[in-house]
Amino acid sequence: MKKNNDNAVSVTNLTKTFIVREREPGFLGAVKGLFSAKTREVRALEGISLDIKQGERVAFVGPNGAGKSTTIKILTGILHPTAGEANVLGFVPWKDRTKLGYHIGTVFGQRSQLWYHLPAGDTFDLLSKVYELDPEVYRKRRAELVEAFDIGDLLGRAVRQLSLGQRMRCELVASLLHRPHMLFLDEPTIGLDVTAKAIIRDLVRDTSLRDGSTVLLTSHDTGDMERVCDRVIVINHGRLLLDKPVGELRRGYIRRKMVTLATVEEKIDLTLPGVEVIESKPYRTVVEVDVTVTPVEAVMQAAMKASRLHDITVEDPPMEEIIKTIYAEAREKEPALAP
Amino acid sequence: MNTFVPSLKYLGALFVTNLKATLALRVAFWLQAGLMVVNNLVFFTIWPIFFNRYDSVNGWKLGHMAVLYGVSCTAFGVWVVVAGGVRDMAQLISDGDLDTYLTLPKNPLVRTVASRMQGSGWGDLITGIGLLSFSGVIGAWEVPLVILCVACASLIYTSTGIIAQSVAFWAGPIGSLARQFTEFLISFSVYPGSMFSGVVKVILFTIVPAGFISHLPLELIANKRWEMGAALVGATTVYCLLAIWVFSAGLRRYESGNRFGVQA
Repeated sequence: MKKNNDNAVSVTNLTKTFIVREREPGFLGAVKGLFSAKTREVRALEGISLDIKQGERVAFVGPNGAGKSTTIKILTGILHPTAGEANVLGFVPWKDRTKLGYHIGTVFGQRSQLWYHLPAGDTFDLLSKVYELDPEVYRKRRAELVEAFDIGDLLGRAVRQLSLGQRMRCELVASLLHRPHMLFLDEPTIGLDVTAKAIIRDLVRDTSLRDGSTVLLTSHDTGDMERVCDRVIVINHGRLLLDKPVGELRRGYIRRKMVTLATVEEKIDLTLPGVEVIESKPYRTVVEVDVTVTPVEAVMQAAMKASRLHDITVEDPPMEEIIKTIYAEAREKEPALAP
Repeated sequence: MNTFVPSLKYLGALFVTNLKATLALRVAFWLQAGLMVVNNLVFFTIWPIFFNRYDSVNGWKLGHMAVLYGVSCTAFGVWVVVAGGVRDMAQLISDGDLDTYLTLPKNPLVRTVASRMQGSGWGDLITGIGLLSFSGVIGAWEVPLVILCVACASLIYTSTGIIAQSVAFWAGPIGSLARQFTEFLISFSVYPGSMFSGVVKVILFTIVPAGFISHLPLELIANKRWEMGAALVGATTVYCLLAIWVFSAGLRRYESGNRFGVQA
């Protein structure tokens, strides 16, 4: 059963098909639906294969219905795949779910494992029995996590009285009490404000670095990917579109750069192929440069010729733009994959 | 031994956490428990009035009816206090809320059934124990038998509840139908067994096993025949195994979901 390699996760040709009922729209459709059992197959995963090394932090990115959550649910043993193989920490998840449970931690941003009417500390106590932790080991680990996640003041309050960000910090502590070797996070920052997102991202990354745990994180938010992960896997319509280190993704897919010019003169005239003026204010001009047409260096030289510069800033486009480019390329290659 | 003690500690902790969660809603707890006592007593009141007019029904007297009600109420109370999550299983299944239980290193069926305690169950327990105590039929020697009968009846309530609610794995949100089935079971378990014969009696010892919940236990307490005890324990085992099998088969069809939710 155990695999002798450095991979925390090995997946080969994983396929999942759901059977869904088809209903015609409108009232008549609802009535017809009572008497017919028309179904259709939805292929959530179409034979994906991937490996994740121990200690890696991997982001699983994709639009709604891409197959992110389905993959995580198969890898945690919640769902049975239709076909294919998977091995997580030496276990086949859907066959050895209970054994695997001792070694993984899970956070589903849309669900809670905390008891709603009780303080989070009560759930932690229950989980110590679930994971059969030695009382002294549990006491120390809980104190360590309470301090790291700064939730000491929250432990006396019922979960229903916590904000979403506070609750998520408690969820993470609950999932880390037993020192899992692997952490599965399904949309852990969903619904959080900017500050709470930043806190959660830093905590996840720090914990993974400190404990040496592997992280597989799904998100719509590319910030989660950039701040937490070293590697990104892009999935759409159940197929892997891309698998690269986060830094390489930026370098490989950045075709446009934003150049902000602070000039001594009020206006600057920059007419170059592949350069588009985005914003033009007195003494400040922002241009978007298509680096495949005109390199940034050429733009800078042209700007210095045309005007005296106080300052110049070159920025990458936001990660959302990069992901959009990846989807657009996939759409060009195969229209059926359009998000 | 290695797994037995941790499992006991886990079950104990689960019960205590459930109890804390129920008591956290103090007013709701008192209202549910108190109103259930009133509800049960109102339903039982018909029998003192009836037996005031008629001496017996096919040999059944008021004391027998108190034992019948007592066993059924206590068993129902034990069920919804210890395993109250059964009553919400169909909803959990169809909403995909089993996810968090499935990632834990414990049996998901145990975790699901013990995911909730219903405050009203304490009212059932109080009524049931009260009726058994004041029935005039139960002596000190019958107490172990009564405990056995309540345990078996409670397990049958739980098992049939699991089976009915697990239909949701195949048929979707059928929670109200499954609850209707339980109501049906309760209704038949609080009428004298001597009223039923033929096909109805067969149904009451198979599909709607009210016979094993109160009729057979009452016979066992009255006659103390070992073969009745064996039949009761045997039937309970069969219903428990069937419940485990149906839930396990259903779990393979579980499709999860993406609804927002919390652990109540």
